[in-house]
Amino acid sequence: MTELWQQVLSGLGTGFIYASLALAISVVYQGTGVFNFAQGVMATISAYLAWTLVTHGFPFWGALAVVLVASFVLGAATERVFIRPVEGASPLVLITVTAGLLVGFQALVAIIWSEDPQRLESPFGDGRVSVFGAVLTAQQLGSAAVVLVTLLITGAFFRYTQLGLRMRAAAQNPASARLLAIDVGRMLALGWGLAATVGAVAGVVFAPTLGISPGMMDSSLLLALAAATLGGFESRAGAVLGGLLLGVATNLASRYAPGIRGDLQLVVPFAVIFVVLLVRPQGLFGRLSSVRA
Amino acid sequence: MPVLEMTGVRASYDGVQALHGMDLEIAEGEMVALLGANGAGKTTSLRAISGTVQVTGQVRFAGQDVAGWAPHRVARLGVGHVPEGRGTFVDLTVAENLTLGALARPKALRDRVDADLDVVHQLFPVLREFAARRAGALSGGQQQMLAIARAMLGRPRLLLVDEPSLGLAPMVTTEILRALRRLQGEWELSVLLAEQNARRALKVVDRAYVLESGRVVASGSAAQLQQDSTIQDAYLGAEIGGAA
Amino acid sequence: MSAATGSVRSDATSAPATSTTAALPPAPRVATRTAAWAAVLAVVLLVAATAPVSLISDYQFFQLNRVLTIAIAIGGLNLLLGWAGSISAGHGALFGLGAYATAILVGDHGVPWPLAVLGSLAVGLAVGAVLGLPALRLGGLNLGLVTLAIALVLPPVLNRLVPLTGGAFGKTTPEVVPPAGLPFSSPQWLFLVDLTILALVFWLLSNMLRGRMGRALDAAASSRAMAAAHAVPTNRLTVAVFAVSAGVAALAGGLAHLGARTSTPDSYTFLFSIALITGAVVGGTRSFVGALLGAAFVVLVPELVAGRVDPAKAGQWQQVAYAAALLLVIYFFPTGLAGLPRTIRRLLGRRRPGRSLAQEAQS
Repeated sequence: MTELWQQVLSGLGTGFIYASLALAISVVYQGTGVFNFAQGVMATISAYLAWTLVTHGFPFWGALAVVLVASFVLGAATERVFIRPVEGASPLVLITVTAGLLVGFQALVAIIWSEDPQRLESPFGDGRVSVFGAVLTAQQLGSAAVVLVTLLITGAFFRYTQLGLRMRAAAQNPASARLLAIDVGRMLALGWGLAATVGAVAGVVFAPTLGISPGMMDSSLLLALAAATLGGFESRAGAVLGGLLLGVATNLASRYAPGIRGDLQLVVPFAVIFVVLLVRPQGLFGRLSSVRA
Repeated sequence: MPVLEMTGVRASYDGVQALHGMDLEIAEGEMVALLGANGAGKTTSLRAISGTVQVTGQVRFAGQDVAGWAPHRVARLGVGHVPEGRGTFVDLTVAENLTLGALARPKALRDRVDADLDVVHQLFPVLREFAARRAGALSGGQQQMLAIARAMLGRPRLLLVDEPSLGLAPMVTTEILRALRRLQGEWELSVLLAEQNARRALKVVDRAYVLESGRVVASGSAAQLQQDSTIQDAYLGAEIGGAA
Repeated sequence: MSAATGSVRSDATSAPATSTTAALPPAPRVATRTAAWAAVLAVVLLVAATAPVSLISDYQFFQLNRVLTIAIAIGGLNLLLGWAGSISAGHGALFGLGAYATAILVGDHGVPWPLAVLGSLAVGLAVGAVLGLPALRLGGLNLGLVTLAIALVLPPVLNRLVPLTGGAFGKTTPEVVPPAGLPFSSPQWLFLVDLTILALVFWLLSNMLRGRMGRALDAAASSRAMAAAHAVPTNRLTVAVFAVSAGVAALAGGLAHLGARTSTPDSYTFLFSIALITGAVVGGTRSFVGALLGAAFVVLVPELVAGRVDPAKAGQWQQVAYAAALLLVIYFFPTGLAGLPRTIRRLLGRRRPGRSLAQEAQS
């Protein structure tokens, strides 16, 4: 029983990576209408930036603050430069562009920082904490807490601020938003910037666990895509819950199902979404959208 | 000086021309109707003003030529637009829809939002009652009220309203048009109302233009047009005769 | 061949065609094209058969074979990208599946290679149908997700199933021997085989696309709602097209294995899938000539990049080149290289106002 509880909790811990990337993906999806294959590698860039700053003597949290700003700029600039020229094109074109970004960015990361894996010290120390009988590392607990706070802040931003409301409006009905003096293009760029920032939090805070390498976010991206599909792309909260759910499911499967270990864990999220989507094509929390003209 | 002046405006969709040299003028504080059959160019005229269709020619609003401007810049200058299909943000609440309207108003009027919201709520009590509801769950008439209220809360100098009667029961249409007229008077704005139902529109507006095939074929005060049987027979006959 | 073409053409132009033939103007052009393909094939076969080894080295034939097999796969992928309006991020994996199917059949069971390649085709069709079925429920973007999953899951699976796949070392099979009496080296012989199969596959695919299926796909891609209104069974269509497309990719993979002789799990990663998409987009997703151009791009770019950068980072620069080419083509030549002549003609035509107006009226 304690064993199960332990597995659930540590699954939840990694689930926060998927949850934050899934949130980022869903923010971009709502604004741009496609999922951003490059979301994971953008978080990887953030992690490398943080690592570079820390190796130059920055304190961890100071580096994080700088990186969040830089990531926001990078995200917004990516939208302006790469997505703007094909705004309004078919999803197929847009998705191909983001796939191109994934390949290009990942290669650039490897060229700039080399493919050798790097280590980032945990800012939470190497203590251990007991939670109702399960033992978690301070890193596990601390990173989950930071990401949780980030998710809550992001949620509150969309829910309670004027800018958040404008962004939601622009995502939902761009034509109508323009008539209300909302600069939809700017909202899209802001959305990409915000998504990159949320991804950056996950990338940097989990870097001590994941290790830093050009492909560090590959499987997380996939799980995040699965999480967003599971939760329904239209629902930010759904994406987050989907991420947590998949974190737990993957961890349990790799513990209790023989043969599903390491890179094969990827089978789990797809088995889960397969089943869910066959029953509810719109995802757990999504609404069936009518055909848009 | 007129608040809006269109001269020789042409507009087209995918190479098909919809406006063939529109000329039109609206004075400050005036309520004007655009009448005409389906496809006469009413909607396109409104879109030419708000910048949601490509145009050539001159669209002078408040002294500036806004032809070719991005829609959000035209809106910022003080043009409200209740679009065809109402433009409801269906997944946001009614209150959020209204807030979006209020966010569009000039900075100088920001402190009056609460008072204005009260006025709008008195006019359309249903919007207060359903404030926390998903806007997509409202009926067509309620969404039309929401659309007008939302645009009004932006405190535009000129409000463009596209076919508010479309798909609504006559009673509801009358209620909406009356409310529109009342707010227009109180808040001293100009209104350009596109309507297929000429009889109903002429009851509330000061003046009207009659469109056919993308240009103005007649214009005059509401009273004149209501009496002019030639115009009625030629352009509005079916509407007025049929409705009466 | 050319005589047949001529007669078709004169039929269409001289006889006052009935309304149905008038509504289908591509028909004569298609016959011309088929004839042209066959002619090109015949000439190439002749030249290749008589070309001395000094003119085209075996290594060059080896590279040409890679171009041809990748072109076949891109031709299959184009069914999805260019006609069905959906994406597959997993065609690299399906290609790999085909490669392994042939490798296993030939290497472990002694199946003659032509049958093994057909086996790859069958495996591809079956896997495509099985994967397409859930896509039937999930719709366009989710198909992308499902295929992404295959792309990412296949390499580790290949690594794991050591008894069947040989694990990380992969599978190696003996060289394909040309029939006795023919004066060909193995790469030369495979070149002829690949070229013939490419011609056959493209001919079959273009016939398929020209018929009812092509029109239904066009309708479905432009608007699902519209297609549904016209009783086009969009979902069943998507599954069928996906299965065919997957089968073609696996067939190409089988042929590619025969040329390379060794298949390893890391030949068929997600990146290879992206390379196929890049080739399709660069060449032009609605053109079979484009598939060839795109395949040449996929094969040649690494070669071009390799000589110019630090060898340790060649792989990365190659990826950057793919990405840059992909984006540039999307932004500036949406119809790909195959569409360039037409794009240029249109740009030139636009200078003359009379003509451009006529074109606008047509479109």
